[in-house]
Amino acid sequence: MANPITQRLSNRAVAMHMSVTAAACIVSPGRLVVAFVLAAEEVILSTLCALFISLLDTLEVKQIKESCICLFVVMFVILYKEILSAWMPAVALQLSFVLFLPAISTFSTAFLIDDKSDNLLTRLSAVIPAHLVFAFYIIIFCAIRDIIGFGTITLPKMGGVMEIVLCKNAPGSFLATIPGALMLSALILASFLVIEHWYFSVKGR
Amino acid sequence: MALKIDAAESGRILTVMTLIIASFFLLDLLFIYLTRARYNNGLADSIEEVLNSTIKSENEKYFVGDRVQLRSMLDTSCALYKVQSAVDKDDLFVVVARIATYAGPFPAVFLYNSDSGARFVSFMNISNSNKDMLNRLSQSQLHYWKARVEKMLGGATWQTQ
Repeated sequence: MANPITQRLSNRAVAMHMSVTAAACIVSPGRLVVAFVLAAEEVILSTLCALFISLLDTLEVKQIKESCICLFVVMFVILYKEILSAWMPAVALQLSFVLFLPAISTFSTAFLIDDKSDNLLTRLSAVIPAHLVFAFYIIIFCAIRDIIGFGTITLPKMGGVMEIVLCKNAPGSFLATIPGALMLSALILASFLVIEHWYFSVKGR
Repeated sequence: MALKIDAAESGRILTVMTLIIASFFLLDLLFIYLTRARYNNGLADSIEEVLNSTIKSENEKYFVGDRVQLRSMLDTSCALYKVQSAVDKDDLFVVVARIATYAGPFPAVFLYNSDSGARFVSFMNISNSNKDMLNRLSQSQLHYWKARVEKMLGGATWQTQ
């Protein structure tokens, strides 16, 4: 059975979303606290964006739909950054421009999704699982970097970051760096392709 | 290609667009206004924690005061505060700047006074065990930002918020 998400999103949208989400993981510091912030942004923004598109469809706004979506995404990220500023000021200062990267991917999927005969529920059922997968990927990716690269687990707390030190000398501090993140990203992709190849070869027998 | 829309339709589009822009703009302004003081105070507490983690005795304790607004575009990636210390009686300032390191962006704390210039204190949001690693990886960026902070505060105009 074909995946409903990939049926509904063009290959270009999926590739763009993947690359922007991966870019957000790579340029951001490899801390679990950062992953929670980005993953929450990804899921909340995509859900609200789907609701907003349905509102525009109800209002029969067609000519300026893309402009309105773009505006909504940018305004939401500013709002999200302000809420983060009040909750964790140092993390808000640290992330800054990184918060706009998931917004680009959300805009690309919202803009490129095939929505000619959609109602709200079908739109949400297509958008939310895809973004939950990416959110999960961000958390796993940053958790690996945090634990192996920094030797810590970082969690959000009111006013700052709670840091649990697992070991004083991190076993793979290279993974804490951006070149290390690129290498980890390539390894995850290669592993995924190997598993996919193995799965289809077993299924084909 | 020209859009063919009648006057009533263009009026409706204009109304919807205006309402969306105005409501988002007001909502953002409201949140910026509501969170500004909390952001400034929270950041001051985090800076104070970093500064006081470097002292040897309680007498050397630092107290971070009011935020000073920089009249520069750097204000989006930096924050400047007045600092009081029992040891250092001179006019002291602390700058926290988001620095692009090999491990991604990290806020770095610099102390500045007009006589001795800028001095890097430490990175924020990172445990002591990883600070050495980040310092080693970011030497050139720290030198650049130290010079930039000195240049910025050497002839800057600012106002206390």
